[in-house]
Amino acid sequence: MKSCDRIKRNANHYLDGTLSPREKEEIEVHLQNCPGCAESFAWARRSRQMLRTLPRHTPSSNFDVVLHARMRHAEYERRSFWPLTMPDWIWQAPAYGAAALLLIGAGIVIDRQFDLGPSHPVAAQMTTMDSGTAPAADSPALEEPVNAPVTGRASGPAAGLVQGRLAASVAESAPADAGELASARLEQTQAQTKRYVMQKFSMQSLIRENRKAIGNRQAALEQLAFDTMLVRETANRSRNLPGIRAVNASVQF
Amino acid sequence: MNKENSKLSQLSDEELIQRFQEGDQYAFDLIVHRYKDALFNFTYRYLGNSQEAEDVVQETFLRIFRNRFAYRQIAKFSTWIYTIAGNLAKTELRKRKRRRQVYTSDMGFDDKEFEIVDTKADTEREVDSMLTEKLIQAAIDKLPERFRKVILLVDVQELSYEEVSKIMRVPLGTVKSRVNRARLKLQGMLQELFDAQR
Repeated sequence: MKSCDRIKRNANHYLDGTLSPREKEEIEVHLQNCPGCAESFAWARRSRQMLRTLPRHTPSSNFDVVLHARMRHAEYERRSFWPLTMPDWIWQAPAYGAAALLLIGAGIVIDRQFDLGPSHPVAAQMTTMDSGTAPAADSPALEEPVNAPVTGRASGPAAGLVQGRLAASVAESAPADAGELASARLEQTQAQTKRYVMQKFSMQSLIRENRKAIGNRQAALEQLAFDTMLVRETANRSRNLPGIRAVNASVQF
Repeated sequence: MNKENSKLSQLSDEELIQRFQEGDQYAFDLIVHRYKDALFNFTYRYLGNSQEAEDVVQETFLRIFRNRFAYRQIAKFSTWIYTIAGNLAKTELRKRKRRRQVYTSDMGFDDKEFEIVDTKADTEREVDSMLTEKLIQAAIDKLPERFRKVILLVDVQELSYEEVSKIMRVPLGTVKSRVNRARLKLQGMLQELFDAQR
């Protein structure tokens, strides 16, 4: 009897093939002479087989839909948690930085476009109109009258150069008030750029507010869809309850 | 499915979770696709209730989604996911005991099984296999928790002793002896239940 208990305890090790050849042989000899243990071994084999071949159950068909809704909700909660501790502009700072750099860059380009170098005919004219001389401090041109005529009579190498350019510019038929025009145009462009920048900032803040509102509505809609699904599922289950009870009642142990 | 996605589906679990940690959402979808059925079957057999099992599996994936960076490649991914699901199922079982709630589907039936009605022979076979399954599930439900988990992981989910040892955080020898005791207990109970049916 004691021997039978030991043999039965080793049934699963025998079926797993983890016993030594000597133990295995001992069991096989015992089983040939003991119908009780043989039946016990057969039952062990059968029940292990039954466990392995149990029907595989799968989740409901809306498993993925529900999981994705819950994931989106979790992600929304995670994102909406941070602004409580961090102001909104912290996350937008890099974007603002990039926008500021872009504006500075645009400003430089505009400035260069209207930065008329000394070689430009209009600039030359403006210079002459303002001072009538070349900007050399030690130039004899300083001694010349401030309001030199357009045709210019400045002396010295620099003044001569200006005069030459001016003559060329006049020859190109530049109007006398071109400097004023350029300056007016520059002011106009600057004002326009300022207006654009202001509009851009107000549009950006409008977009931000709208995004927030859309986010809130989307989350609310997702929650609603999820709740509706749960209610529907509960309703479906409760409709089948009588059927389940009837079958459970008919199966007795 | 495009080329990139089909390449992704050939990756190991560990590579997929790494891709997910890097922000690839599709990698997570693949993980869900790989594990949802196996985890559901495990939790369903452990809890004996499909609704609770589905809740546990959903919660398992959500935990992984939220704590994606907690996973380190020192452990096998399947070990990690089974540990989470097993712990959640255990908590659910304790909650149920506290609630003392009795479900009509506790014995292993659920809605789906009553929707399949084909021919007469099919129905008879269905009822037979349903009864067998019900008997086995009843025996599993009667096993103490520490035996139930180990036998489901080894004999139903067919995981290795080494992996089960890591999931349950007990030495390999303990797993082996628990499996043996669980099998003997279950075999004894099944024999009684089937004999009573004859």
